[in-house]
Amino acid sequence: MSDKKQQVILQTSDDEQFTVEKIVAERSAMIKSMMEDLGEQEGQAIPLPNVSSSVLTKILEYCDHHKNEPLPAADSSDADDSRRKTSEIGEWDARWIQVDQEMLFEIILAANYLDIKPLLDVGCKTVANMIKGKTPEEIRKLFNITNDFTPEEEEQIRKENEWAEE
Amino acid sequence: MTRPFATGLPAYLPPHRPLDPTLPLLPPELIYKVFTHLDHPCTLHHLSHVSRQFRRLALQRRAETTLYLNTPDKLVDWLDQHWMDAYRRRPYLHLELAFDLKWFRTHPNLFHKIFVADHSRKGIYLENLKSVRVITTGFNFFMLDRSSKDTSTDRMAMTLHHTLSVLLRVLVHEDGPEHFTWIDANSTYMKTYNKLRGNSSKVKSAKIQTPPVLHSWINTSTWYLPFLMRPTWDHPDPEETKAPIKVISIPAEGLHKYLKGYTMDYIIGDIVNRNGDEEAIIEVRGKVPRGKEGYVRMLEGMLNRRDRKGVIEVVWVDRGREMTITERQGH
Repeated sequence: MSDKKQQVILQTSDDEQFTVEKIVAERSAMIKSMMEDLGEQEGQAIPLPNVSSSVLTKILEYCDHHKNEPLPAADSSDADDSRRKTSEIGEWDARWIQVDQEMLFEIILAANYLDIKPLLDVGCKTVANMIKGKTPEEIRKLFNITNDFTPEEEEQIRKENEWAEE
Repeated sequence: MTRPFATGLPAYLPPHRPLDPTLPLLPPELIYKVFTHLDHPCTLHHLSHVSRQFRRLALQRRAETTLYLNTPDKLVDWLDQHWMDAYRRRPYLHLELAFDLKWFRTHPNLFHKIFVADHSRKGIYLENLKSVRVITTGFNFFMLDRSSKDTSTDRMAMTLHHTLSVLLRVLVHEDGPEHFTWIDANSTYMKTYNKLRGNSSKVKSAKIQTPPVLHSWINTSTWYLPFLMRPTWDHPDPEETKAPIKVISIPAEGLHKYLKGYTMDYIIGDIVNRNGDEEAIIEVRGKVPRGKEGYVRMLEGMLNRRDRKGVIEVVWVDRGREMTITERQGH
């Protein structure tokens, strides 16, 4: 196989093209699956209409760093492992994901879309660590959420959870 | 933009990305994914106060990871191992146990089966639990038939702390969970209990002790304990490897019970041994009863002597709020 065949072209939502190693692009189960479905068509760019160039640049950095690690099993389901998770993040990943909040959420959305499970985990763990110790009001700000409880509902919840306030 | 694969593309769905800035920045399925990394019960509790959607997701997460043995039927079913298959499919993170000794006393066969017969080798305990939350009700000590001279163990109810010890030994791995909360709702029964036993109406608690099984819980770093007439703590052993203690929460009403004997001394010594430089909090809830103020000074003196690195902080709280010195001294 020639070196050229080891390359993949990715096209972002803002029409930028990225030529990357196949092994790097294949960290995304979605891209890998697309390549398998469509066959190798030389010079054809794979469109990623929901990922901007700035986000893809960042994600490719992650994929490149982890390119030699084994891919997660295709049939590993969230239901199996979601009950035993930790909030620990590897040293390199923790440094890499030190980005502003908007970028962090964009990375999570893109990781979900591109189906890069380990990256999605890193992103979600980072947000989880941001949430820890925050009040409901601070969490609302973080997620851009409006308090939609009526005063009666709030009172009801407070009563239901009185034990937790003890 | 040219779309080279426009024809015959697999149906990849675009991600959810709300354009309306007032909508949440992440869709529910991803918010839920974040929640899977937040399994402390208090954090999930906070999340359920955020919004209706967060509440639904937090309750979903809690239900998915919690084993609820909060009725006698569920508890008996579990102990009969009917739930074994369910357990194998679902390694729970949390256990919620509501235990009503009074109810079991009205079912002597069940009582004998569970608390007298040996369950210790059943091997159905839960491993790697993050939290165990126990609510106890019923009386601490009550003869099934006070006129009977038969005092064999199945005729005479064992104490609440003993039955709780048996239960926790059966249900929880011997190293214990990360967080332990024990709420004793016995006070609601004390009026009836005192009348029945001919006690003064001022008696506030049956003589509940620390269930011995708790002494083996070396993984447990957060302790929330009720009023205990006879609190105990294992003798500190510098050779033993235990998880550092983060918080021990006790009611101010029973503070003197910890200081009269060696219990608080053991607790402080244990923290000093297992924490190294990690900080710990002794949380005292409510107000110290009138006439017991001297025990506060005794606690301070004990800390000065035993905690030379100053890793232990005593925090006084009243319903989750830190108390001022004035409030602390008020009655």
